[in-house]
Amino acid sequence: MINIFRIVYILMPLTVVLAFQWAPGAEILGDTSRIIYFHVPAAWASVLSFLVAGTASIGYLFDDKKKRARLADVSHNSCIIGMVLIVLTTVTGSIWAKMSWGSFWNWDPRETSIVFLLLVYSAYFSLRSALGRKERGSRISSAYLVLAMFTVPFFVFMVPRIYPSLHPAPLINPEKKLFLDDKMRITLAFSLVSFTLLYFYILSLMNRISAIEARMVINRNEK
Amino acid sequence: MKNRLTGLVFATLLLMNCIPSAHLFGKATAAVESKKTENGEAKDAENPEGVLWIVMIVVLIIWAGLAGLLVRIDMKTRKIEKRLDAQ
Repeated sequence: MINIFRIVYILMPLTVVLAFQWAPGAEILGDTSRIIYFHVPAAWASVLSFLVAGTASIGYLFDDKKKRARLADVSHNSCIIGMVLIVLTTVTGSIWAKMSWGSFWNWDPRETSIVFLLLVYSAYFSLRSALGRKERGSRISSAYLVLAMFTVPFFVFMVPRIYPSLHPAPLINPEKKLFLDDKMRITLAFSLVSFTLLYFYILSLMNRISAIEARMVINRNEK
Repeated sequence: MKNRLTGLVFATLLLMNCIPSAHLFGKATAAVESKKTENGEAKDAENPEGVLWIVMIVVLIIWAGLAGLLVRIDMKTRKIEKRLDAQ
């Protein structure tokens, strides 16, 4: 079967070229605004990965036939990628904050909420390593992931809108306007698609590796 | 293999994201300094457009490395899957 996520091999270099050569710099920020093509898609992909992890966990918890035990692996793998991406978001965001606001960390609502998300998902890894991968441990870890998933929209979409933030007006704002040049908008769209495809491609690879590990354990037990 | 994949993907993505960020950060600092010293022209000359090309090429090289790694892991995984299917 052809893996459609392999389009990322072409799309990602195209995005890099668009980000550095085609898209103009923003009016006030200039070339520093180009970080948007790495920072925002990484944040989006991390949110997506946490949502996929939560959804897979729901599937695992409500599966009576236990035929879809692999969903526990899917949610765990998605969480790993989500953590990697959220750390990237924090690092690139800190660098951008230094340029725009003069300090690497400002305890802005969005920065604070990302720290909470990091803590919530770090706790998941501690929980999973303490409980193990057996039936009961997997069920408790999955239940935790479902709860954690419901904190994501709160921290990512609600908190920054409740409290005044240093961040620019979000893309979806009360005026329903996109404060971006057309070229910047297209480049950002390319970047979002590239990071989404990269996430799904890495997830599919990790899931295949997990399946191989599971089959090897079964083969070993049969011997 | 999964841990190695995660580690390497993280490292390359970090490089891919931080190199442009760090470069642009340096550029912004230089711009601020040039305003402070009122010597904008001299500072701008140190940051020609060509630098943006170099950064882009570096990022593309890092991406090529990550893509090569992913292809290698993909092929290796398929090989093991075929071997397991044959058993």
